[in-house]
Amino acid sequence: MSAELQKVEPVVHSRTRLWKYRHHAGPIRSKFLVELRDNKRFMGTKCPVCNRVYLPARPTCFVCFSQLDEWVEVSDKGTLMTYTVVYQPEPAHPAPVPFIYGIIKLDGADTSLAHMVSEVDPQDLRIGMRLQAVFKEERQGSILDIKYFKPLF
Amino acid sequence: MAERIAIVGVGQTEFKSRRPDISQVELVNGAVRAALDNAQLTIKDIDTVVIGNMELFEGNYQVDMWMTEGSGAYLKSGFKVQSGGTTGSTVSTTCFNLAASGEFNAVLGIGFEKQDEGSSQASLRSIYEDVFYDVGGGGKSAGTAVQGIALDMLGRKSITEEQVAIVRVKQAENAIRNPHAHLRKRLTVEEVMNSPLLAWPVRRLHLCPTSVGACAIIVAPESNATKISSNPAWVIDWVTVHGGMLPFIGVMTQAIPTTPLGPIWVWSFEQAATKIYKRNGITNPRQEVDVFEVYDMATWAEIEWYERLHLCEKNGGHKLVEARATWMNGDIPVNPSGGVTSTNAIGASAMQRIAEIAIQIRGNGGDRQVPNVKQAMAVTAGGDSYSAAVLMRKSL
Amino acid sequence: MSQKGAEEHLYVDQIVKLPFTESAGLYLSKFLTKIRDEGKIVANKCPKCHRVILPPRIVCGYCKVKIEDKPENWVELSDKGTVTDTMTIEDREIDAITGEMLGVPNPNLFIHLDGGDEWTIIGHISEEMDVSNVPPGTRVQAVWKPMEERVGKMSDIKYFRVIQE
Repeated sequence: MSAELQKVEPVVHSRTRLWKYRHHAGPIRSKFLVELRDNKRFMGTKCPVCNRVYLPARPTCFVCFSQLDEWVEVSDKGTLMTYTVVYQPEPAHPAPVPFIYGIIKLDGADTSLAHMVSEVDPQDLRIGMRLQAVFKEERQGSILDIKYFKPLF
Repeated sequence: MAERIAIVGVGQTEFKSRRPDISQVELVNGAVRAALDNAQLTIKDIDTVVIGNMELFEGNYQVDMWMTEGSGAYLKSGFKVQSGGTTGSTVSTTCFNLAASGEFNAVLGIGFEKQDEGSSQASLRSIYEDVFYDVGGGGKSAGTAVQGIALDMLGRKSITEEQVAIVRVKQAENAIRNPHAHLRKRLTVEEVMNSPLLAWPVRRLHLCPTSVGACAIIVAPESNATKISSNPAWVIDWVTVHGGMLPFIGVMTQAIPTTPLGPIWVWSFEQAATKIYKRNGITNPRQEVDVFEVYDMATWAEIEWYERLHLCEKNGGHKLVEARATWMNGDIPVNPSGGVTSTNAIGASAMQRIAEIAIQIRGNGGDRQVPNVKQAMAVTAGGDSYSAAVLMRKSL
Repeated sequence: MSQKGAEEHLYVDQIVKLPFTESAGLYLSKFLTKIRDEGKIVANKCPKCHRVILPPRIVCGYCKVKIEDKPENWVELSDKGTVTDTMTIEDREIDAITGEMLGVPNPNLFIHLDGGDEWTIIGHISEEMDVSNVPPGTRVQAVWKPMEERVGKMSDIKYFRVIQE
């Protein structure tokens, strides 16, 4: 490259882009959320072929492709399958750091749910420990209507 | 071992402006189930799934991953493909390539858009702005391309504004006969000519709607196609052409409406169509092809495409309109489906052109069936100057 | 869709705000630096086909030939030119969050700058708001921001003004 070009400082432009989305839940997920909001209840859908209960509820069994419309109530108590403690803040996070993300399998479900775990010291977390859902007082029909899961004693 | 291929199943959902009652997964699932039903197959018979949409519009960047439960792609091969407005045709040509390779038994292709979830305008701006194209705008979109085409056609005396309105009425008539179309309201020439101006001479009623819907096709190699269907639509030839970053100018063509080569998008459309003609010995398309489906992002584009398809001589678009040649009972029907001007769920639109000619070839067009279709072609165009063309036949 | 679910249609809103940085690259950095520091518009010329390319590119897309950074390949264009196209956007985009109307009401202009050829087109905006007063063929000239306000962006040119010539 020429001497002149070498002296040119790279020009960099900054631009912030903003997108606004509204994601529709669909009939099955809407019902799952409505049950959280109105009844503090966990409802899953059951595949008649595989006999699997999906929680959160799904419209299709991704293994056998059956359309799911059989509803099953599962417990608000479950088992901690695994967890991680988050220290790095990100705008998408639902809570200030540090907080605990857990993968929780509720009794009666064949799939697990990702949510926050609280009222426990991270040091005392054990895979396999029993947890109980804690709901918010004011609920909107969102997964965050569940405040967090706490240890079940 | 390379094989000849056919479309053995086609599925479409209904197309509306808004579907707040379902999620993207259910939308995709609807088209997939319809295609499987049409082919009388189950998801187990499919071994590859290719999906496409304009991710920015729904904010879902790994659409092939997120849609797995709806597309049936779990544990199968496949991926997402995207090329702007022509996405549906690129998904289709990808499926054709995969099926023609002989490596797969049945390939499922899905194109969809759920624009009621998204940010179309913000997304489009991000495509048309860069370090150089940084001033003005705030509304640049397909409207730029259409305006360029419209002004050029008026300048060359290809067409009059009134004739464009007449074609728009034809598009609406065709859409009324298509249960999958979005805009199915009968129109009058006066209504079209008086609709609000977007960018002169382009009016609101000339331009496509934003639709929510999904389309799916199932493509199989010859060895399996004849087992699946007694009525396959043979895909004879296909081509895609990148015209973007028009090399002469080195610009993103959608930023400027016309070039020394003519209006943008037009050059690659003509390239795609003529490549197919040349490779398949078609010298008189008006006679040799029985029906066309073209990507008309606006009514003006449909007429421009008549000329670029060589259905008439240059500047002769008005002759085809005067003769009603491209009407359903004309000698060369164009867009029996109602076209993109009637239905535009972007990721699905280009695939619907291909799906429609497959439907026509298989005789499944119902009220909009063109009689005796033996050879049909779909040609798509979109940003940024990307085109695809597909030739199908009833028999090999 | 006849699955037994809720009558209510729930949804979740998502706002994605992403800061991007775009590097102009070698030749475009030179181009924008000249705009900022010297008030000059430069293009480059393909050594094979001789097309004058704006914005300047490292490779001529048509010939697939590299356009070397040599003085003879750079072309200084005038800031005067002839309008080749106009575009007025009646239906401007509204910012999804603020509700503010985006873009500018000024008509967009596409201009052949003097010193280039038929392929040398710059896109900018017109000072004159009535686009029928700036038809293709109109002679226009750039109106620059004062040097101290220029930052190395296309908006360092305020707009193009109709001139009598």
